[in-house]
Amino acid sequence: MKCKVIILLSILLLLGACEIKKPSLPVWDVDIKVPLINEHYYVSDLLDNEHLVTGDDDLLYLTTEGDIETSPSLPVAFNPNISIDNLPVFSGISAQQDIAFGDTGDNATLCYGEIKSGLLKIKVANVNPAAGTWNLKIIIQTIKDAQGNPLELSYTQATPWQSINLSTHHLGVFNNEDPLTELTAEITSSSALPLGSPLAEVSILIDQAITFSVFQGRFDNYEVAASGAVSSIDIEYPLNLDEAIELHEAYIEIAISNQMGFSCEFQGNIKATRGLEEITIPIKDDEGNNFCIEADTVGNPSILEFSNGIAGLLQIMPEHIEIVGAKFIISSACGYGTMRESDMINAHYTVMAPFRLTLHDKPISIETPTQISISAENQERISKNVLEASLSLKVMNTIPVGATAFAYFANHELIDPEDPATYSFVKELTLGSFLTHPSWQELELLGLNRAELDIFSAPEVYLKWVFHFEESIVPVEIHAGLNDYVWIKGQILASLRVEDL
Amino acid sequence: MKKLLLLLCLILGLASLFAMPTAKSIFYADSYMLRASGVEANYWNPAKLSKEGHFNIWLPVTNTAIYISNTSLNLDTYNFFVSRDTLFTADKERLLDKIDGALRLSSGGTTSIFGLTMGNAAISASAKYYAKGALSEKYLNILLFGNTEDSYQFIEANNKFAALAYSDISYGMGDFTIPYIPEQLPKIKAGFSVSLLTGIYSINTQEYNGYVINDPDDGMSALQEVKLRTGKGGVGLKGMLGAYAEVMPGLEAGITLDNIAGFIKWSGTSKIDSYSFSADSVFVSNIEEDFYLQEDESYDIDSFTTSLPPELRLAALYKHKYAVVSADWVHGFKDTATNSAIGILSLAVSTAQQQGWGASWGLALPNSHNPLKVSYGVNFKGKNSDYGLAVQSYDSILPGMKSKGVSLGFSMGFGF
Repeated sequence: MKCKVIILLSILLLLGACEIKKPSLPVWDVDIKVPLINEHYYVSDLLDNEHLVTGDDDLLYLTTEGDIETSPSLPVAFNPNISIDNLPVFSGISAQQDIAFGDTGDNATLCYGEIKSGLLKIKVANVNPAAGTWNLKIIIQTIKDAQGNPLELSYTQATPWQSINLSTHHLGVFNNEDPLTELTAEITSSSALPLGSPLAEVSILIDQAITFSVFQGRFDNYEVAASGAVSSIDIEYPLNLDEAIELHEAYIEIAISNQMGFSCEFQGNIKATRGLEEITIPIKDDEGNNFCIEADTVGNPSILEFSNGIAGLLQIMPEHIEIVGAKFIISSACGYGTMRESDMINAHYTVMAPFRLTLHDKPISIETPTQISISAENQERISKNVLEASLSLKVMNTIPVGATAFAYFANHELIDPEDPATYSFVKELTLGSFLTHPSWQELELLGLNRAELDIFSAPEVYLKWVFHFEESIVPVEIHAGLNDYVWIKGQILASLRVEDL
Repeated sequence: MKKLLLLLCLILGLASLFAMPTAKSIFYADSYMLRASGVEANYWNPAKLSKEGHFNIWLPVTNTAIYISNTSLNLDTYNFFVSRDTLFTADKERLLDKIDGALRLSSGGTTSIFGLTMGNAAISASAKYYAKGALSEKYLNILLFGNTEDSYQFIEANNKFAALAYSDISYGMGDFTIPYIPEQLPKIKAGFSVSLLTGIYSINTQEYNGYVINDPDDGMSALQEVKLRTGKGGVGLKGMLGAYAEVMPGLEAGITLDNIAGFIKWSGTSKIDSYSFSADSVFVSNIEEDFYLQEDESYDIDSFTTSLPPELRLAALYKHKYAVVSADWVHGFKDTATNSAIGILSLAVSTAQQQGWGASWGLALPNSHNPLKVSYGVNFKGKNSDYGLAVQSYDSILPGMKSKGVSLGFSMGFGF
C-alpha cells in the first residue's frame, strides 16, 4: 500500500517538477538572398529619335536637325527708268517709237513678266491751237492686258502727267526666252490741221520700279536671303558625356526644296558654340565651291551632303549649332528661269555624327546627388535588423565601352569626390568593355558592412555618382542593334537579425 | 509459452491505431482491449460484455482524458530556446536535428456522457475530439537560417491539418459463444457494438501545394496553396466486432475490428476554405505593389462523408497471481485524424487486485509518426466503485522535461 502511494506521489512530483519557462523569443541571424535584377539594357533604349538615332548597320548617331526658309522671293523689282520727253506728234501721220527697256541695276533681264505693280506716266502738251477737234492714240504692243490686248491710250485734249496703272498687265510672251529689251509705242493722230502739221507733244515716263508677280528671264546676281526664322539647335549632353568622348567624324546633310524655276547656289556657314568657344565653317562642296541647287525641286529635294570640317566642329562638343548667313544666289550661270511671287526655298538640314569615338578617362560626374529618403520604420529596421548586405552581380557587356562607377554616400548633399571629408564612404564597381571582357564578368561584391549601413539610419541619404570610361586605345563604334546591350543579373545577399517578430 | 510468442510475433507483424476510445486506456498506454469490462467493453471489445458481469454505470465527465504531443520537441528543448538571448548556429542545428522532416503535433480528448450495462448488453455515450497537424522542417529551416538553398518544395504529407469532433451513442452485446468450434479448442466469445455518431466539427487539408524558388535567372517564385474542407453537423454510424478466447489458463487472446462501415455524413454546413499566395518571377528591381497574388475564397459544397477507416486490433493478456500483462497491436488502414496507418504495439502490466490500491504501467513503442508513450496509473477499487488517475509521457520513460507530450486521464466507475 505504501509503495503504491509512493509511486503515485513520485509521478505527481515528477510532473510538478516540470518547469515551463516564460516564453521569451531569442534573437538570431538569418542569411537571405533575393533576386535583384535580370535585365538587358539595350543601347537602342537610349534612342530618342531626336538627337540619338541609328543609321546603317545599327550604328548609333548623334544628330541634330534644323530648318532654313526664305521669304517669298517675289516680287522682283525691275527699274527700267524710261523717260521720253516732248515727242512731237504730227497730224495724220502714224509714228512708231521704240523705247529701250532694261533693268538699270543690270541684275535682271526680262523675257516675260506679269506686273504686280507699276505706273506708266503720259503727258500730252503743246497742242496746236488751230487743231480744232483732234484725236491722238498711243498703242504699246509689248504691254498687254489679261485678255491679250495691247495697252491703248486715247487723248482729245492736252493732259498733264497722267499715271496709268499697269498691274494686271504683262510684258512679253510667256515662256519666250528672248529678252525684252524695248517697248514699242505706236502713235496715230487726226485733226483739222493739214497733214503733217505739228499737232502736239507727248512725254512718256516710267520712273518707279515695276514689280512682277511672275518673272521670266535671267538674273545676273540675284540674292534670296534666308529669313530670320533659321532654326538653331541646342544640345544637352547627358551626364556631361561631352567631356569624356571625342567624336571622329560627322557630316551635314541638307535637303533643299526649291520652288523657284531658277537653279541657285547655296551660300552659308555653320556655327557651333560651346560657352565662349566658337567655330564657324563655310558650307562648301569637296572642291570648296558653293553647292548648286537645282531649279524647281518641289517633291524631289536636292540633297547636299558635306563633311568638310564638321568633325572638327563637333570636337568642341557644341552646345549650340546654327546655320548663319544663309542665302541663295541666282547668277547669270543659272540661265533662264521663272520666278513666281510665292516661290520659296526650304531647307532641312541634319548634322549626323556617327558614334565612332575615342573614350577618355575623364570623370563624368552627376552634378545633383540622388536623394534617398528612408522612412523612420525602415531606419529602425536597418539599424536593428540588417547586419550586412551585398550585391552579387554578373554582367555581360557587348558594348566596346568599359567604365568604372564610383558611388559616394553621405548624409548631406555637399559631396565632393575630391574631399573624403565630405562623404562617408565610396563604393567602386568596374565593368570591362566587350573588347577586353567578351564573356560574363563576375563583378566584385558591392558590400556594405554594419558601420557603413549606419548611414541608412538617417532620414536622408545622398548618393553621388561619378563615372570613368575605360580609355579606348583605338576609336570604337557604338551600335544599337539587338546584340548591343549590357545584361545584368544580380542578387541581394543580406544577413538579418531576427527579433521582435 | 510458444503460443504466447506466436501471438506476440503476430502482433508485431501488423500496424496500429492512435485513437483513444476511453479515458482508462491512458492507464495502459492503450494496451487495453482485453482489460476493458463493463461500459468500457462497449468501445474496446464487446465480446467482454459478460452475462455474469456487474451492473456498471458511467456518469458524465467521470471518465475523461486529454493528450497533447509532438514528435520533436520536449520541455527541455522548449525551455532551452525560450531562455536563450541569442541563437547561434549550433543552437539552430540542435533544434532542427530534433525534427525529422516535419514537426508533427497531435491532440485529442474523450469524455463520458453516460453509460450502463445490464448483463451482456451495454449502452453508452461519449464525446471525442482529435486533431493532428504537421509543419515542414523546411519552414523552420528558412526561419532560422534564411533561404540558403535555391529551391524549397513543400509536400502535403509534411504540411497538413485535420481535426474531428463527434459524439456517439453505442449499444453493444457480447458473451456470445461462437458455435462449431472443435471441443479441443478454447471457446471463443464474440460480441458486437453499433454506434450512432453525431458529427460536431470536421476539418481536414483537402489540398496543399507549396514551393519557394530563388533563381538568379527567373527571379523568386513562391506558392502556398491550401484548401481546407470543413463540415459542421453530421450523422453517422459505425460498428465493431470483437472476439476473444482464453487460449490457455490465464492467457487470453482477442481481436476486434472497429469502425466497420464507419462514416459521418456532414449534412449541416459543408464548405471549402481556400487560401492561396503566389508570386512569380519577382526581382527587386521591378517589384510592384501587386507583385504577389493573394486569394482567399470560401464556398459551400455538397455534403460530404468522412469515412472512419477500419481498425484492426489484436491483443493478448496474461493474468498472473500478482500482475496482469497485456500486449495490443492496432493498425488503422488509413491515416486520418483518428487513425494512424502505421501500426503501434503497446504493452502494459498492472497489479492484479480485487479491491484496494492498484498500479499500472504501459508502454507504446514508437514509430516514424508516433512517439514512445509510457503510462503510469494508480487506481483504487472499492466494493462498488473504481477510481483511477493516470499520466502518460511521450518519448520519455518518465514524465518530465524530456517528454514530448503528455496525457492525463481519470476514471470513475460504479458497479453493483
